[in-house]
Amino acid sequence: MSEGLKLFLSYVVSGLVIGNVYGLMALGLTIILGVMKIVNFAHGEFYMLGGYAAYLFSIKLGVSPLLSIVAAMVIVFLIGAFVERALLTPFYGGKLDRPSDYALLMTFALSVFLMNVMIPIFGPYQKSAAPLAQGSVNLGVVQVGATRLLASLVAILLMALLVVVLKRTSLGVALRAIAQDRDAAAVCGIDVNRMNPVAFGIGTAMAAAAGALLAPTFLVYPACGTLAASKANAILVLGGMGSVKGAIIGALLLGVLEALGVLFLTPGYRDVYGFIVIVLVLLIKPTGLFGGQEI
Amino acid sequence: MSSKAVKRAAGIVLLVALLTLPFWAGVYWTHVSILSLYYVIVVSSWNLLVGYTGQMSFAQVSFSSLGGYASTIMATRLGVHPVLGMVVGVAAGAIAGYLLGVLCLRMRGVYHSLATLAFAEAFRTVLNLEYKVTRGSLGLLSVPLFPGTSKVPYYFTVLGLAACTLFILDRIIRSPVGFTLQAIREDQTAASVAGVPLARFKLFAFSLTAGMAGLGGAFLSHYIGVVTPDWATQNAMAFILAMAIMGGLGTFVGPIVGAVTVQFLAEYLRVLGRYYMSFFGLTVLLMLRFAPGGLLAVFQNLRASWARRRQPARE
Repeated sequence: MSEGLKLFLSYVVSGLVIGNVYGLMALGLTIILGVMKIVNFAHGEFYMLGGYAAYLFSIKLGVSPLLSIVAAMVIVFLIGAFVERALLTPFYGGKLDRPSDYALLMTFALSVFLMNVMIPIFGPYQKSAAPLAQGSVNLGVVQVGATRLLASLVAILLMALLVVVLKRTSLGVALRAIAQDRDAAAVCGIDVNRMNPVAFGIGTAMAAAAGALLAPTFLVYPACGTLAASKANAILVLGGMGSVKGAIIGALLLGVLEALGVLFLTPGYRDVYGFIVIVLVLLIKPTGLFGGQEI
Repeated sequence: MSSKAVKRAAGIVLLVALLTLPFWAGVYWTHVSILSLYYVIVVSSWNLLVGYTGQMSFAQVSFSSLGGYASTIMATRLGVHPVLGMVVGVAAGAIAGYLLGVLCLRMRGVYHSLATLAFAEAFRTVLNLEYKVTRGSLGLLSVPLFPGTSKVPYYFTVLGLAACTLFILDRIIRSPVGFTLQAIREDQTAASVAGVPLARFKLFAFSLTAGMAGLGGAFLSHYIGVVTPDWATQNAMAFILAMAIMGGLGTFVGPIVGAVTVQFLAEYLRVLGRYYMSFFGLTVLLMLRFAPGGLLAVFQNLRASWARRRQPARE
């Protein structure tokens, strides 16, 4: 194998590894979008909360890294469900003309609040969670850090778990029914309003898992979610809004595109590529790669 | 005294107060007033796009910072007069707004908001990274608009600019164009079926409001003397949102009241130090939750309930 091809493949592989974790993030956004028809602009801040929870459990309390991730997901699920019930559900009471606009602004305000409230609590400095594993693994073309690889595997596991829940359980069927048609779901006896906090909780727990998984590698600080959120947003557009398959494939694509962008273009602009992807997709195929498919 | 006469008297008092403000308010509060008026320009124009036309945008701060950068670069690199620089700032904002509008034409709802947010983030990244042009996070030093250190000429300039902006916005909102924009907000498809050329009106709203943001930003850069990527952050956008929400989205007076209230409130909140932004976020959150119509709606509700309570007494 030539050196050039090897380099190319090594970037593709590391893009795929990180893409899985992005996928987790985007999947959470997709669930929330499907059920509630809003983009959660505070998604990055739930990612950040997940990172801080992992740091607290694994470093401060000495819990094992994998258990810390579970703990982070549970805590953020509760926070997310509470936030939805307290702040977003009231908009849909029928008093407002454009409830989803207000819900969108609310998630934006929430993002500003969460990001800034962390500065006095944890300080502006970067924290790191305990690594999941030591050393690195040879994948043939590239050496990947064991923590990063394990994070990727856990992300795949969680995504698979979520897909099974969505396809096989009655909760999943209810969520998918609401995503298809809220009124029809209500007619069929699904308590649609009680599913909102559940969907928001699951979505934010996914973001928290991503945050906790990347906490050892990318470090945790109050604004660390902004970047992750902009990636999840790009994936959402790339994959087609509300499509689970699209979110996962879109995430892997973005991971690879970014890695190749770093290889062929300049690394400084890595985070602008997401925007370029959004622009190109919307210009060429405004519904995304898998647009129109239900979750 | 009839309520009309009261209103007229209040209007005259307000006008006189505004025209004499720098002579009795002191340097510090004049400074705060200048900032408030800058925000009146940026928030009121954003309100035309979001509150009246229903096109959610998170890119207003990108346009105001673009105006600031364009004007500053013209003045410092090419040595043109700041006034000409400001004209270029307006044009830069309007053109960028037009382009973002073209990009967003095919998008609706969620896609639309996401695209503007992504644009804003990408623009801020570019400001940070293109340090040869923008000096990165250090920002660019600008040229003052007026010689000397007096804030009085700046105050009257921004007062005039805000008045012009509000006048134009008021004319538009009351004109058939304004009604068309509101029709687009209420139902795009219906408006389009009724014969409204959606693209033309949306692009008009986008470029006009972005141009106005550019004007505000260009003025501010020559007043403060520096323009940095901090202007284009999400925190800065949150400030704009807070003002519009605080006053009342989709009303003419709301953003004006909101801009002034939030700016003056912010001055008092600075004592909170590092808790400042989180307290601010919390305020917006609670405002949205408990009074989504803004201060204006709260005030109207209070007045209505006061009038109801007086009613039985009169009978």
